[in-house]
Amino acid sequence: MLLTKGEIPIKLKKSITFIVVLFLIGPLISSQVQSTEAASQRSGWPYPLINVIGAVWASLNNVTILPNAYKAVPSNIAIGYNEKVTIQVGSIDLETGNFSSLPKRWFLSQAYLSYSIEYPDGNSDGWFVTFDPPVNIQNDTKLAVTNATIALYAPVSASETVQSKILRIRIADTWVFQNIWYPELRTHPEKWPIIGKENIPLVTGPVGWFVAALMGGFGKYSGKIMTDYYYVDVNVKVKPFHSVNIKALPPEKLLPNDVISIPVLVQNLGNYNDSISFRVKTKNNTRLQLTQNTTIALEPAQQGQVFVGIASPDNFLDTGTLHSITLEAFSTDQPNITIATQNIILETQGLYISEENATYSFGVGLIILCVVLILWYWRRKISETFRKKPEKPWKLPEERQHLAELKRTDKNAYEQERLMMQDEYKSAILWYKDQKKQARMTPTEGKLKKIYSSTVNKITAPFKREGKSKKKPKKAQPVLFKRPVKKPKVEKVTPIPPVGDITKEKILTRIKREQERQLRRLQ
Amino acid sequence: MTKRFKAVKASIITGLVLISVLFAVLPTASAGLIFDLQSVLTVEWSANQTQQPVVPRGALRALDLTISHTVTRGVFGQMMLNVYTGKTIIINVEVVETPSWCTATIGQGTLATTVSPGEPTYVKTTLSLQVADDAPAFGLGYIKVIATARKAGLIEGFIQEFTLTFVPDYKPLIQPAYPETNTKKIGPLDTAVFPVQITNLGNARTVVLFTIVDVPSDWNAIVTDQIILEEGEGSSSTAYLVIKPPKNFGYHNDEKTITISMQPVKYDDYSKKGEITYATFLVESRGFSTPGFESIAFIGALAVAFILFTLFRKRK
Repeated sequence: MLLTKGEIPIKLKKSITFIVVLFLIGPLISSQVQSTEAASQRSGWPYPLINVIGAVWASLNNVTILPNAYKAVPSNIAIGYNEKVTIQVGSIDLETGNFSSLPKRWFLSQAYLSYSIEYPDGNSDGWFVTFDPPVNIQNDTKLAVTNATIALYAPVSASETVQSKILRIRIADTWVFQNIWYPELRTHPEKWPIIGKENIPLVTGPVGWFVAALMGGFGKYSGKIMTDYYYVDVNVKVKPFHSVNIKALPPEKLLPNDVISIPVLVQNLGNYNDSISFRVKTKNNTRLQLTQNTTIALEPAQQGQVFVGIASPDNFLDTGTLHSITLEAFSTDQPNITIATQNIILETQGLYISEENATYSFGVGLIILCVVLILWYWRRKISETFRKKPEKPWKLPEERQHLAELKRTDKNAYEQERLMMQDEYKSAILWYKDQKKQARMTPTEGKLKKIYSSTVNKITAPFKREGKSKKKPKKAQPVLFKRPVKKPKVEKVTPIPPVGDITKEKILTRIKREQERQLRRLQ
Repeated sequence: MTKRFKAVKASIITGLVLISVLFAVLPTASAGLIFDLQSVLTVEWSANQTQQPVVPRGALRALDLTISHTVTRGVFGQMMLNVYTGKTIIINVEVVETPSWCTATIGQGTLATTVSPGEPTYVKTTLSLQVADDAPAFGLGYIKVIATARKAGLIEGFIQEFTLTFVPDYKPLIQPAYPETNTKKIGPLDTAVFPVQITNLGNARTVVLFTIVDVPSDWNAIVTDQIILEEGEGSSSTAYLVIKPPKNFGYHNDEKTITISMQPVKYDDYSKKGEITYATFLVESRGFSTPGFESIAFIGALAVAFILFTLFRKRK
């Protein structure tokens, strides 16, 4: 067949037609493959050729997933201050859910897991978490698990508290890739045709890996280091910590039968709101009255004041006694556990006279005073009965009349009479005073006489007389009826009568005096 | 000849186009695709060595660091790696950050390892750390360390930063002072009060427990049970020792010493105890003691005086 100029040969025409058809049909086939993949699930294999092409296409875009998952066991813990809890954290097998190893993969030069802790609320005070081992390196036989030891300590500052929270463990999964374009013959002969047992031509062999690396795009990671981060949360319940600070108090002083209210400053050093109660005890057996069961509710780090009431005993006199009062604090959640103690040093000292005692004492004193006054008055009356104060003779009516008559008749006699009367009165007064004095000096003599028997009286009488004889002789009894002019005064030493006869003598003297007076009138 | 030349020319052009297309298809992987030799370091240490709290001003804590080195490569790096096999790689280890109260040093900061294709090589060094007195007890301490594998030929360098954590231990330390005095001269009926000021020189909140160790017979002494000192240097509180000498009737001239002990303990864990400190106080009780009879004695003295006066008057 001859071709003219400008005419296209038949072979070339066929080629051009094939290319045109291919370009037209290619995209159609592609879209058909995708729709067929979906349709095939519904209706089987209605278009076998297209299905085969779709299968090849899917193989070229194979799903390559290297699943990684991690967990913590246990993931809920309870911990208290100064306690440690160890949990396990590591890689798990997604099928079984158990911890698994970090298998060596031919395309990785190195792979390891490193662990660290994060605090979602940003506060790390009191927490200390360590991982043993800190790094898990890929190993076929060893589980990729670390022991995370969570320790909790009291925070440094009183204002910071540690309460229940979530701790977040960060797992850094690092892969160091080597050549992953294809399995190398030198290092991975098992993946090569004929030699390798694991070789599945066009799938796991060099060709399949190359196609996958090319189509999946992971070939570019050859020689690179990649780190992915995973997080595991651990729910931590922090046990309540009861602690309280009772500030030290200076010593207090208290009078007997007094009441004092001592303010005590208290601070909650625990980590939760707490109701704190107090027991008040005394170390020695004192009679102090104390207020008990004071309770105060405080937030963490909050300070409050409680009062301890103390009443001292009503001792009349306390020369100074030291008391040690112990204040024991406990949380109402745990009444049997004392969380803090403090001493209150108290000294009781002083003199106490109660109002009641004062009143009674005054009453009794008043009664005693009245009794004394009555006795005094009675004694005075009695003594006046027995020892009446001598009257002035010139004031007696008869004597006054007699003096008046003498004054009119005989002036000299009158004067003498007056002098005599004055002497007589002076003597009587002296005698009276002496009697009074003697009675005062021996107040119990009369009583003794009543008590002692007559025999004793007889025995003691001579001694008494002898004793009295040593004293100055008593002055002579004045004699009113004798005139000093006619008979000059002669001091007669008369024996001193015994004390018991004084009254008798006095009566006799009086009788005598009356008789003389009557005689004088008769003359 | 011309046809052959044309064929060669077409082949070269086609090859260039294909290579260009290949590199155009894989632009980001081009470097890795060719060599991509890179050192990789991992650092390990024993967690047991950091779990135990570090005692302030105590012995140095030594941590053994094990550094593994591997070289990873790209698709065409095998031959190059074989060339570098046995060559020395320098690794520098340095501490870059510590708390102010912590000192950390690396025993041997520069280490050498060799290139070994396919297998990691290991080098070891020691990190020593110590903490000062003001390190907060059980506060989180950290040391940031950087391990650097230097670039060697076409093997790229590598920097690995890691953080070691630890906690300082509790260091109880108290300083007692006597703001007034530790000796007093009193009468038998008086009371001696000694304030004792305690300053916390330790690194945590501390409870100081007071006990009377020695008190003479017939003497009475009471001391504050306990005080709590806040954390931080200079935190102080005052306790009180009260002493009462014997007051029985008669003349007293006693000089006695009373000894108390002070022991710091951690406020939240009484098992962590410090050394016991002793303090001795001297009290001199001198004077005549008529406990409670002063008033009675006064009245009696008046009565005696009155009687004497009366007798004297009578004699006159």
